[in-house]
Amino acid sequence: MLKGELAFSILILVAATYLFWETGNFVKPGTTMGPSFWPRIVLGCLIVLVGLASVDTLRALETRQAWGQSLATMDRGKLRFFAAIAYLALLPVLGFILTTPAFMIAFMLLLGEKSVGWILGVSIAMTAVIVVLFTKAMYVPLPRGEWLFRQFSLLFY
Amino acid sequence: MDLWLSALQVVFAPTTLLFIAFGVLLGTVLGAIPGLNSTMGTALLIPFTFAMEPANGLALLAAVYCGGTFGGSISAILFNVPGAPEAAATGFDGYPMAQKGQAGEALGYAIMSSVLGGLFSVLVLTLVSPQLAVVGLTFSQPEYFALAVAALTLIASLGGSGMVKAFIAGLIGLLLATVGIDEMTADPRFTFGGKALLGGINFIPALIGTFAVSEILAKAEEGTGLHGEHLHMKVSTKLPRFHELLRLKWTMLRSAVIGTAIGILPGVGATTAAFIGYSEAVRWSRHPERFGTGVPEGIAGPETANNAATGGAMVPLLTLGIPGSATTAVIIGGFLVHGLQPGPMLFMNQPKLMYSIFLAMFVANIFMLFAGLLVAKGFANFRKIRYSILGPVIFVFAAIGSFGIRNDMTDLWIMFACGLLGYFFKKFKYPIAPLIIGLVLGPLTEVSLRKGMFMADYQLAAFLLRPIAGTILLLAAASVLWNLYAVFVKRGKASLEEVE
Repeated sequence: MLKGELAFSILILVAATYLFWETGNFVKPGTTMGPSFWPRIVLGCLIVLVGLASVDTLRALETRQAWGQSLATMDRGKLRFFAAIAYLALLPVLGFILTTPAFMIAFMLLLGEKSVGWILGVSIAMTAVIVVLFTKAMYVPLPRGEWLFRQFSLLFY
Repeated sequence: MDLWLSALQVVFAPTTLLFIAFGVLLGTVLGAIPGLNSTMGTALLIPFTFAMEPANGLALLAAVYCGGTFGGSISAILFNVPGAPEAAATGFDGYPMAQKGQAGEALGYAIMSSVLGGLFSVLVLTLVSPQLAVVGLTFSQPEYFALAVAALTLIASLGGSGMVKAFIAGLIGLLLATVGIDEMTADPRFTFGGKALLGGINFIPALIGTFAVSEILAKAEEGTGLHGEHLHMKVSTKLPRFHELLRLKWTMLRSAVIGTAIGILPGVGATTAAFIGYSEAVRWSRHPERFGTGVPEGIAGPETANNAATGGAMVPLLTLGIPGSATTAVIIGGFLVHGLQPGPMLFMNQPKLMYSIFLAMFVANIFMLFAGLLVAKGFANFRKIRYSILGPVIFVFAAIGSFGIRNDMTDLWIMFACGLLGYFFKKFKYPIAPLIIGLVLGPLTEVSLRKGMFMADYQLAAFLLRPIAGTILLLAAASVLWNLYAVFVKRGKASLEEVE
């Protein structure tokens, strides 16, 4: 766990240093408090504090000699992570009405649900309820998808 | 007195009462569903109010507003997905309380705090609204900056012994708030040449990500143990007893005053009020380390403040014609469809209508008790469903809740990225609340500092010389020093014990 924590701190430190450098792109010469003023204060403090936190973690590592599980250790959870990412990526392409039941079925199965009735019932019913509530009752648009999938979504909303 | 009697006749007519009850119920339901909110509800209802008597129509809109501000706390407590931004701070202690099997008690505290906060602010609105509106207008950038800094100092209290991690989280929140077009110079910041981040990082997808998605990702990693897991079988809302409420009297009173005052300030709103209410609840507590673990004060603080802000936001609207929040800006439309212009003249020309609105808001806050119980009961049933079913449903609601803000896919990826960040925060014991506080208060802090400094010719001392801003800043500094002192004393004692 400590190894992962150290990697996380270093990741923040590297990102903060890169972003500090990036603030150079929006420096406005001649202005006292330009657009880079506040981000630089925040990033400066962040770099100092993350540095302190990393030193603390290193000290703890030395004393405990504990090199816990890696950041990448996700085992069976990996597939569930990818299911969530796939859902977000496919939503603008296939549209809400096709992607949502498919995602819900896959995610429920991955979470260990075995009742077919519940899986199918909840996936289809929730999609229908959301489509009616958001697009018909409250006029809130949902993603329609592209090409043929868009035509399909247009049949419903 | 005659005006009050006339207003009583208007508001207690069966039709008006029915409209108020419907409005509160609708607002509470809309507030509880992520992606929908009371602003949408009031906007959609405005055309319907055209055919109504002005008092009925405006009572309906005000009732939706009151109900919507409370509704978000139901989903925040039960599922860690705040239905509305105003309820974000309620989830800090509401959800941990629900996880401990006290969801019913948490909902009860939220309902009672909301009702009492709302009633307090309406009372203030009724008694001294014109005077308060004038005071509110004297607030300038230094005062806004001082308020934001005071709320940010809460981060020191939230971290406990891990203060460095709390500050890191808060700074990441402040940094995320800088993404997008700079409000003062219109320069893009951290957009990397693309258009996706020009609009900035919206606080709602970030909030849904760090709280709800991180929870789903953490549970998804847990593995097979999830099958058949029930969150808690039965949730029945339990209103706090009188002695339990008495214990919270100072927290509620403080938050009611804060909420009303913040509500009056144009452009600040119920979300900031809730965060400041929470921060002050932590600051004044004898056990600040218990916040975040599920304590009633952590619910009463923000819930009282956000509902008190509803009455407060009506003060500048009714007295000066300036909306104090997004929903009150929409409510102006409700006045306009009836040919009425909110402002000082309305008090002179339509006093009966004004008193009817005050009274309708009072009644709406009382109805909120029943609507809250009813809607909370309905939503609580979802907690009976096992997580393998509920998890995907929450994820879909989180996704459409984020998408619905601006109908932009970027918000979905922001939600997921913040979900990952929240997941690692949980894994490595970084507190999440400071991140959200930084993100919410970041724009207010930066803009008020830069504008204030510009106004003061870049003399920071000018901030301290203004009586209100100076006092708030000194109190905030004292609070941080006190927290640092407390941490060092604790560490000193611990190392002494080790030596012994």
